[in-house]
Amino acid sequence: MAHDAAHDHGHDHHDHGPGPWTRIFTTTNHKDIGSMYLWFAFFMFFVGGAMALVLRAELFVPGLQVVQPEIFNSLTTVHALVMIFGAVMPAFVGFANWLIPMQIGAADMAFPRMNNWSFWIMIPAALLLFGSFLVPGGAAASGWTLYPPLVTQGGIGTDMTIFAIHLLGASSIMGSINIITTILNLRAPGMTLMRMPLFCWTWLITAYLLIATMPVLAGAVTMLLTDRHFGTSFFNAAGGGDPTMFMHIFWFFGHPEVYILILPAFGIVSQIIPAFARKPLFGYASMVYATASIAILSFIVWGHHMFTVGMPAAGNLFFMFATMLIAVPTGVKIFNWIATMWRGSLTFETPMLFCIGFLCMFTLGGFSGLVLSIAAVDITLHNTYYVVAHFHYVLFPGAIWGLTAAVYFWLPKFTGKMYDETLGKWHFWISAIAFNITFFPQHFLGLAGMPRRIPDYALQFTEWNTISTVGAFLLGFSQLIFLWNVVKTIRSGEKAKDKQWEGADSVEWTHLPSPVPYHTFETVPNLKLAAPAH
Amino acid sequence: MSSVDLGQFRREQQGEARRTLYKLLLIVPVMLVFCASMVPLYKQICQVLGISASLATTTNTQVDASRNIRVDFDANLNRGFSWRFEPVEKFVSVHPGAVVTVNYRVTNMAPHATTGRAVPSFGPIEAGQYFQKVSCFCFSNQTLQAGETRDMPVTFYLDNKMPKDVEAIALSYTFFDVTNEKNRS
Repeated sequence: MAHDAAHDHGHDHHDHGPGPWTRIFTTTNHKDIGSMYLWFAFFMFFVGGAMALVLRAELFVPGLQVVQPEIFNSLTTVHALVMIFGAVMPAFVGFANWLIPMQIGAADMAFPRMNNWSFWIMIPAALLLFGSFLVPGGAAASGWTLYPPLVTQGGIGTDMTIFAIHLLGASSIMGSINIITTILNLRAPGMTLMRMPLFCWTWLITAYLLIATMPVLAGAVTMLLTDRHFGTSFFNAAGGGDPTMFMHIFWFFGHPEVYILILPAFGIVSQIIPAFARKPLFGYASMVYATASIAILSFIVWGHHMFTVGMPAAGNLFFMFATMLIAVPTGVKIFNWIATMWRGSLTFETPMLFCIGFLCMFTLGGFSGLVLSIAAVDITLHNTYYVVAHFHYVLFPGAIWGLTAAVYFWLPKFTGKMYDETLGKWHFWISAIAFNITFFPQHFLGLAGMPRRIPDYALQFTEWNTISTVGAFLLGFSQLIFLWNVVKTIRSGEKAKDKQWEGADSVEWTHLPSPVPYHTFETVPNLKLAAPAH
Repeated sequence: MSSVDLGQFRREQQGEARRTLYKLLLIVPVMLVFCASMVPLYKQICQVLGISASLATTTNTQVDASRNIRVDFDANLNRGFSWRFEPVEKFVSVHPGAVVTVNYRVTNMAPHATTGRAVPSFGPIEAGQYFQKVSCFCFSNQTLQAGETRDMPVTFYLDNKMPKDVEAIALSYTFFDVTNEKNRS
């Protein structure tokens, strides 16, 4: 920055652009911002993973060895917030920034300055979240769901978490507005809505979910804040408030949120599987409608997170059947992916391996979700490790593997360099095995009644916990291979072809070289013939 | 496409994009209002569906001497509240429709005046709609001087529409410390 001050009046080198440090603060280029989002998410992924390893280390054997219960609770809370708001969502936004303008033939996002702002607003949010560990009382320890009355008893760390959520919410809303506007208004001639790649479609729908639910979360945490400091009684029983109402408001946001975390991954998988099956996607239109159905249904199923709060039986039944209904469009999607592979000329490069892994493991997570959707069963399984196993099965092989597949698939396009296929395969197989060692035993622990978010446990749970911890450390290690592979590709990867994948048919592969130039589609391309026909 | 066309094309695109932006921005306040309106909505829905105990009303107060219902009294203090709080009688047996008065005894164990507020609940929760409190110390602030003991009465009757299979009900109060809240406001 000092360098810039010295050259305040010397802006005669416009063609050189700003220096690297000024550039990261001022850039409005969708590729720069996409890369910053992806690196931010990658960093947060490792921080959140390290927190999870501390939790697993504590649970290696019964008793308290590694951390005190207060720290354990804080780590549980912040692990979830970091992974959801710091890793998965920014990573999806990063890919949206990189890919959506290229896939629809636009020069950039619709509002480039707002794009820069929505990235940089996340940095103070991350600092607030991490800084909350250093204040008296420690970080929020109520679980990421922030249920009162526990959350109203926390220290200043809880307030910092609430402000972090406000900032992250604002960032997501701005990012979503940008994505929707880009898709609706900036498509090149010929790129009709029903010819868009599915990644654009799933993001369009996800962005609507974000705009509709983030204000609800912001409202809910603001009510917590006024309950804590300004004497209101929204959720405070002493003043006639009701903690159950927080759960209703929170999960009205929270359930669409879980689809926000998975729908873009559906889009990624829907583009990668056809590329390696060398066949167009089976049932393109049904994929679009299934995604929209899932999004709409996600607004009327929040009650399945609260089967044990004493809702009337009619309420429990409604939420139970509405939840089961979601399995129908999801089943359509799984069917279409399998049908795409059916009699295709399959090859199994790393992105495809991660997609097939996604398909198998996400479906398993979906099945345990169906088990939990049965109100009568959920009453015994509520708040046990069965729930932990369920949502890690849908989030790790779902969201994270979808993102990992996307990194391997598009890295050659972004950097112009090819990743190391052998390392990629090692990464896949070690994480696939390690993931199952970590989380499959947690189904057994949950069925046996082990409660979640507790730093200690009864002796009979020891064996499966020990196995789970061993798996977790192996899983953490396998992600280091990922990091190494990405860094190695960028530094010394072999040159990638313009159309690295034979079956890839979206515009960034067919119309642009690898690596893609800093500015693309400055003149409006005609995509009338070029856009993939479905 | 020539550069003149391109400039115009981009301007038109930007105009459309701006209109989309305003429409999308409108969703944010709408959803915020929706979130805030959950509070009154929640009350309204409970009232319409008759879910909430405190809002139910009844008309028939005739005594049904053919039935005896045991009412248990429970007393709780919120965490760290320095009062002693217990029912004078652990339980009573009442006929539906009969008006009964019972007492809770409260003592302030703190060396200074403190203020508490009691919130009732029922077991089973459905019983609440048949439990008519004529007068009660709950929901209003009660200030006790240091060491003061006071008997606080509850006058109630049970609605004789109460289902026949109910034989026992528990009435439970929890006292919350609102001393600081009072000082603040």
